[in-house]
Amino acid sequence: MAGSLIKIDEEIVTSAVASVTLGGSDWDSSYDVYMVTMTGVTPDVDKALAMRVLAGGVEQSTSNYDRAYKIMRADTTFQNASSTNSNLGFISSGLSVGTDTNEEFQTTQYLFNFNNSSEYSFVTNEAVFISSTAVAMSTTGGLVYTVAEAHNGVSYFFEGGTANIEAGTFTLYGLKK
Amino acid sequence: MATNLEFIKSVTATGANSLSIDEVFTTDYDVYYISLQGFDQNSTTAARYVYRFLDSTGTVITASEYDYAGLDMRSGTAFAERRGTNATSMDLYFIMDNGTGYGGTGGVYVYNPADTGSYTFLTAQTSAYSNDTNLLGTKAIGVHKVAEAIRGFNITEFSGGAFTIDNGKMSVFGVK
Repeated sequence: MAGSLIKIDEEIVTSAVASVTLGGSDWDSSYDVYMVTMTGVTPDVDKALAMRVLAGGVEQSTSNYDRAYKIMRADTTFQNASSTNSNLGFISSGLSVGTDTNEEFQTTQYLFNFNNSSEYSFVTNEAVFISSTAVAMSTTGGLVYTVAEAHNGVSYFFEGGTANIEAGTFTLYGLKK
Repeated sequence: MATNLEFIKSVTATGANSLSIDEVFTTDYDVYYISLQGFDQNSTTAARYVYRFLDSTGTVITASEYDYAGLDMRSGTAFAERRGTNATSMDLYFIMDNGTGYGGTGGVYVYNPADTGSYTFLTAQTSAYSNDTNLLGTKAIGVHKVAEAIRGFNITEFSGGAFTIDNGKMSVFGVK
């Protein structure tokens, strides 16, 4: 049987906002796996991009986010980046996305187990971006929210509370069974 | 609002050392997926193929406008890093030869190619088997660092002509 990628929610940012939420009241729980694409995401201050999961439509900020990435970069030796028990899930892994022209962030993520209240929720991430130091980079890896509960969305923001999302297209899809 | 991953076009190998798929990136989509299926070439000597984009006239871009980085994961030897800045191609080790059962496969996401105001970005992952590398998986990224419209994608043998692509199919889908 042919599969399909079904668009569930989309947010297009054209003026500065503190965060972007996908799902919540728009969440469709009929899928096992979800995909998120982001294109042209830029901050208004050099900062790292992060995310949190939603439970009951509410952003979860307890210290239960673990992450592990291989940072591939065009200029020098690759790095490993990891952390446990953070209150947010870095997706540019602590690396600042830049504000200069063409310093943009793009990624494709897959979300797993979000509707399963007995399992942790997992996210894989394959990003490509130009950093605030004008280097082409990738954070390839993933993160997990280590609370066994159902989740109905994700939120994206630049860490530290001082940067806004100035531009970008965020799209949530379900992978039809 | 429901929609799909939408097929746009396929091309198959013609025995040349290069294979392009042209007039596939438009403003209809922000994100594209390219599948690389069943590639092999004419020699038992393994050869690697580089990635490039096609400009708004369909010409392969060979100027020093690419940055790239990739991780090679080999089953028989140590992993290796690939990187470059201001390069004439994205040399991300898509490798193949014509041993029986050997070949290269992969998938590439391309971001914002038709946007004249932004760079064009890609992420790629491939899986290939050759007599040189045995199993070789790659995870890679690349950026074309000129804000211009890109309308196609190309793979070309690294050394510039010694090895031809005898089999392979490249398909492009829009992620709507």
